[in-house]
Amino acid sequence: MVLATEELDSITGRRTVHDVIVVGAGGGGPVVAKELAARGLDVLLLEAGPAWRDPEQEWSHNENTANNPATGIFRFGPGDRTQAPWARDLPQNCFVWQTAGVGGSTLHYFGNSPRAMPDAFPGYRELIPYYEWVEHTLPVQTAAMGTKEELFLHAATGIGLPTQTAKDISRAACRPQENAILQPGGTAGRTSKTKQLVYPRATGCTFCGHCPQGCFLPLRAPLNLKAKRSTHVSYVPMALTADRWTRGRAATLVPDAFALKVSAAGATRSVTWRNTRSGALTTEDAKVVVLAAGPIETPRLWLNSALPNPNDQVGRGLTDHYLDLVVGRLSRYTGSSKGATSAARADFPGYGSIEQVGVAPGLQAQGLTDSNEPGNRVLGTRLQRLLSDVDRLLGIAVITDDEVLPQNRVTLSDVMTPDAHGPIARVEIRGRTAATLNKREYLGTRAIQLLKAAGAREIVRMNWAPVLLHIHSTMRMGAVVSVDWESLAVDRVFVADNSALPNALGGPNPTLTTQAFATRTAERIFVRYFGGDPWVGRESPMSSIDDSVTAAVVTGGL
Amino acid sequence: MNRRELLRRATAVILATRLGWLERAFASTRSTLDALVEFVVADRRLAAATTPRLVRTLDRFLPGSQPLSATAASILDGAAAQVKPGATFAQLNHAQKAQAFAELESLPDEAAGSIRFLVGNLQDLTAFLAYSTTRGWRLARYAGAQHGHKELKGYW
Repeated sequence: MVLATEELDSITGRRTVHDVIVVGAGGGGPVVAKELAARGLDVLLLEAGPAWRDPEQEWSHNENTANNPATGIFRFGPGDRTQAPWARDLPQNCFVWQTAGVGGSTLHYFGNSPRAMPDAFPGYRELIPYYEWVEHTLPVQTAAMGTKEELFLHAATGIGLPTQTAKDISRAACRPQENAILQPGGTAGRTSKTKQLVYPRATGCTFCGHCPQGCFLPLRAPLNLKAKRSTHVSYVPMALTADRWTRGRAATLVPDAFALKVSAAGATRSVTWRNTRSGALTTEDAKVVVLAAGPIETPRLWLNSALPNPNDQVGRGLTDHYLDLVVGRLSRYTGSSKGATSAARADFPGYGSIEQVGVAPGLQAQGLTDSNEPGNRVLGTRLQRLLSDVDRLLGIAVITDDEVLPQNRVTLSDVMTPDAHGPIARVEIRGRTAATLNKREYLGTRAIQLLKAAGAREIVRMNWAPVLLHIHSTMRMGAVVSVDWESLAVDRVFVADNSALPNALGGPNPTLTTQAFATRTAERIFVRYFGGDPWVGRESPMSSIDDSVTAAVVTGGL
Repeated sequence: MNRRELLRRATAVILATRLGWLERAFASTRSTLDALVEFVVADRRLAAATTPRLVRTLDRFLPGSQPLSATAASILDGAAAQVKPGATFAQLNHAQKAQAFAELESLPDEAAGSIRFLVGNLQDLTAFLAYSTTRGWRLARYAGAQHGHKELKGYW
């Protein structure tokens, strides 16, 4: 059920006691919502951004329309796009790429779903069943190859990297991505003719090349059968139809609901939110609250709520993979703008990862003009030359296993004016350890080697300023939350987003690991506070593309 | 002339003065940002399509009593005057513009945090906006937004 706040009020009256309130419908929150709704709990899922009624009509492949940070569909701001985006205090050269709206940053993510490095945190082995559960649910599938992936992997083997065939990383190796993207079927990947790319003639990834612009393909596919498995098309539909595809209870989704305050009194937890369209305030109670507003907004909400912060660790220890970009220009066709944005990678235990990245010209140009070093930006005629054929480029993202530093943090701004939701978040990136810099250097060098092996005639390494695309560990496990991701300071308050990750996971992209942890968190909530039994390892997961879910989505009008 | 007429004329003069200031301020912002866009993309037709987008994006990004585009232009002009006394950013050559950016980007984060954020993003935002236009696509030989491609090779 998707309700406006006023509708919720009229149905429930004020201060209904829900079983669970989940704050945030991004990468992690919907996982908890779906799992607990499937167990029959009364789950209220709040999302600060908008709900999407008809992505085929509302979204666009055009980069500016989709990704403009001020006006784009996938900006971090209210659903009413005549209003300004929500502000952050960012006191350094950096770029934060987050999306508000149902699905959160999984709307623009690339779907890359590797597991963490096995030695990144204690207890990796115990997490594997939860990884498997999520991998089946989304589902995660081995990426299909286009030209750019072939080039990347041939070059990777050319510099001596073996091919990794198991999901658990055991050595330096290359492989196709494990992506939360459905493999192409039917006409998908075999034509560019729109009329032939309509479901069910086309299923899965159509190789459109627009992962960052949100995936609404194949055209006319039921919502849960869209190619890229954002939570908008996987976990959220399952949560909202849990009474149809299983014997659960449908979760209630309230979009345009910006959480202002979480409070704790006795065994009751409360959330107060503001309707971003009307300004109305609502408070509801729950037995358990799960914070999943993202690694910037979750610590902001905690601090604005004046919840306990006894060791001053809330917001501290931000890691961001200190991303970098290396791009080669080849004399041959690469298909850089086509297909999944990233479908091949190489992992280097102890250092991090590199992955092939191909995007449309706007984001490509943005990546080539960003740098920590003014003289290193590719500008003017050089930019024109490098971008004279986007499909002769081969891009590689460097994903560093950066180390936790307390001074890299989210706090409340005392410089910028509070907005309608209270003091705004200030994100400070104040340092990097020597080890982090060395790892980034190693990975950058490997990326250059790979591009040379691929035949690149010109190679640029950007030395990006911080691009906060993978943001983690601002409410980190062991310092702010337990291994079950329950607050160490306030029981019945959990965290289920990247902020609870203990660190940068050794380098691999974070979403799958957060979703695995979130699954375990849901299970622990059910066992600890609702007297239920665990299910992972005992039951079989239901895939979000199962026919029963499709039927539930279609009959449920989603 | 009665008091009402005096008031009307004075108002008209004030309005004209203010409008003139606004026009000059707008022209200054526009010429500075035009120069920024040309510095980044080196193509006049692409620049012409980009500057209005840049102004719109900046002004929407952080609304305030002074448009962010005007603030950005003022900062660039201020840096230009450091590089070449009396000059605006638009009056600098390419190397001098690069020097103006280098000056701004060497400011310490602690002292100039928000300026570092704004200046640090100006060039890549400009490039993003420029190469999201049809002119940018043409320059990049991009086929344009499509629902799919014949690009599937198989599995590794």
